[in-house]
Amino acid sequence: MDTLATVLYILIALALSIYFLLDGYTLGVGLNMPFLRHKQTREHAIHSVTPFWDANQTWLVFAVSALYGAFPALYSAILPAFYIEIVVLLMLLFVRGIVFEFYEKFSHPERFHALLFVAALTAAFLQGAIATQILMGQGLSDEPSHGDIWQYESALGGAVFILGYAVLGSAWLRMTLPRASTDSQSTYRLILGIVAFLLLVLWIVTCLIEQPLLASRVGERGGIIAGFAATGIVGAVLARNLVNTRTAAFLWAACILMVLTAIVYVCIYPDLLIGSPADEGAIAPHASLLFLLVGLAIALPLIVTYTLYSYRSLLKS
Amino acid sequence: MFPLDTLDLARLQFASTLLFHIIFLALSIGLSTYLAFLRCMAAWKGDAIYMALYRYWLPHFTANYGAGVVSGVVMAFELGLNWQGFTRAAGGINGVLLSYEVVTAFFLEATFFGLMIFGEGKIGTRMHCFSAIMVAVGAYLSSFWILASNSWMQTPAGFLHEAGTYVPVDWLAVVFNPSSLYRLVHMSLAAMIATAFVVASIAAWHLLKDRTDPVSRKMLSMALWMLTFVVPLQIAAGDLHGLNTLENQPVKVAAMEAYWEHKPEQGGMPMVVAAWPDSASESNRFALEIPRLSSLYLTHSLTEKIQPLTAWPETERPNVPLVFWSFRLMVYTGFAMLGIVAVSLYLRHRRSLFDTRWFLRAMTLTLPMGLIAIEAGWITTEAGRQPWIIYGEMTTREAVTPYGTWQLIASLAVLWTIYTLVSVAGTYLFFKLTRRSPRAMLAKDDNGVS
Repeated sequence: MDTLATVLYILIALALSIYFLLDGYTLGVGLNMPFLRHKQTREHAIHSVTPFWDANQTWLVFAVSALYGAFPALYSAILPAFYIEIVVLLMLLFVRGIVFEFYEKFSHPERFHALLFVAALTAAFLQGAIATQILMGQGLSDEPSHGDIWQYESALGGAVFILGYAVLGSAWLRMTLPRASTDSQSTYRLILGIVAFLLLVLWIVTCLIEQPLLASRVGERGGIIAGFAATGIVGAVLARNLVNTRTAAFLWAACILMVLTAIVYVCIYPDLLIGSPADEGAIAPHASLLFLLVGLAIALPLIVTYTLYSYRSLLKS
Repeated sequence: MFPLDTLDLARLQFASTLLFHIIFLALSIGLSTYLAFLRCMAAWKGDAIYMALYRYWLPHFTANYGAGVVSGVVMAFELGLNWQGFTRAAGGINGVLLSYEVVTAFFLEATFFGLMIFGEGKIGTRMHCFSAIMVAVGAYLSSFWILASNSWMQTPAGFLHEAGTYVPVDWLAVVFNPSSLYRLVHMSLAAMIATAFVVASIAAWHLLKDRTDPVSRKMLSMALWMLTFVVPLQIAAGDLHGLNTLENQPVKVAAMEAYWEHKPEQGGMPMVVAAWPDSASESNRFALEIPRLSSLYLTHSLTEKIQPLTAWPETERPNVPLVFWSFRLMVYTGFAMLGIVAVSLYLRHRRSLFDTRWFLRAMTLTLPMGLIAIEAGWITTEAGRQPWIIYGEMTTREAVTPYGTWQLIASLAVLWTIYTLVSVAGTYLFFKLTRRSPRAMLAKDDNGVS
């Protein structure tokens, strides 16, 4: 990969991580619905994400469209590989968005709570299962619908995403909801966190066993990986000391997510998918990459600025 | 054997998503403009009526916006799911344009939408007005990029075809290809018209119940002024767009006119008012025609002719009855709109706009009029470019992903189920929101200046 393609690879990877973080907490709020005791708390929980869900989901649309623009061969192979899974995922995200915007306007909004939970649960599972398949190197073939998410490592990936998103959602609620409504949940949060962490470790080990290429890359790039891990730990320690305890859990979860996804990208690079080198045909023409980067260089700083502004103004009580 | 093949099913899937999505998209463009205007006018004039109108339409907008966003995301993915051959070859152009749409419009719309809906009282009046404007700006920017991308597929320019890949050589020519600005103007005006008819019809319905309501009066009057200016403008823009299509996609225009072959005895081309175009016999059955009229509006002369359908081999012609009738539907709806505008001007002149009950009753029925024209217009332009996905370059058959029939049927079933459920819930919600009294939104201290 040349410089332009590498920069785009990093930007797409970063956008995907930001998506996992932001839509992770949004879907995570849906996943936490059954564990919130009072109807009013559930309503508060939904209100805490309504202003943000759309922009959060847009990071996925951005990652996918930039993939389309920069690496069209990969885009046109991956999407058809998981045809039915992606159609169902899209419909679940569809329902989720509709619930957020219709919610307040119906006479009995609480009827939507179960729908939101089921949509979030299934969407998180599908995302995890598809992501695992892609991580294993499935997807770069012209044959449509060849992806198979029903292998055990994919199912495990689905479970990891469900629990990971639930952790993010729970941490988000602790950060944004009134103290009284989440304080009774400390045992639940502890159990959730431990189970999520154990599953995550199991999933990583499984993936390394199933895809030896990934394992050998981890070995080769131990230095960089250690560097990322160290940065993550420093970030977590800083978070513990700089912000209040209600915010720290969310930042910790974010640190783990960012470090873990960064390690995955480092292990895949310079392939587009593990085991599929990025040859000439897989990358868009130079003129496309250049024009795309010019647009991103102008737009992304603006996006970050107004996104931070919106969080700052809307989260202030 | 199942009567539809992979290509038919993939097209059906894409068409149903487009026709579903475009309703919300058009109303999002129109309502975001309307709300931004109302919000700023309220802040500027301190007028409680503008604020009441804003409060009345905001929930309609948010529900509609939600449906628009999520169905748009489906479309973005369907491109890659169903048209593998196209996305692989043209990603360096089409994918880049879509990425521009995402980073210039989607994030902007989404973030400022959050601020517009939830920021009131937290971000100050100026910032609130700015947010409402940014949501509308996002809607137009989004239209700009997606129509540039659609137009590039209709009238491709600024590229080279190298080793199975479309390589951009002149981005200005790609973005401002021969039809993109025409399409942008035509679609933006159409969105305003469709929204104005929805607003006007609901205002008329409320006036029938309470003709003294100052909020509904303002609502009807504003919507009809909008239509008074925009409908004639749209007819002119449509004419220019048609001439542009004649230049770049002549076979589409021949199908729109169901013009099969030159008949010297007719002089110029007749306008076919109604007919059943029969592709087998390459002629129109049961034709009702006005002599020379088509020559007049297509060539601005009484004798000149366009290339007839038979100038192209049968495989390069679109589905003539579909294109012919969808185009008729759009044009006839457009002229009916012009009639409504004329009547409204007359009643305004007589100062009886709010009291003429038959007119108000008729207006309540016009609710879907603009949306019908939009649906018909998109069917015309998309069916009319067949068999091409990139006009003159790549056919839809070359582009389609080779799924098995059952896979497409399964996904179509999933899509249609969700679309139906959302339509039912959305329609229920629409009527629920519409039943609220606009007058009840009035509050003295709520005048938009906090």
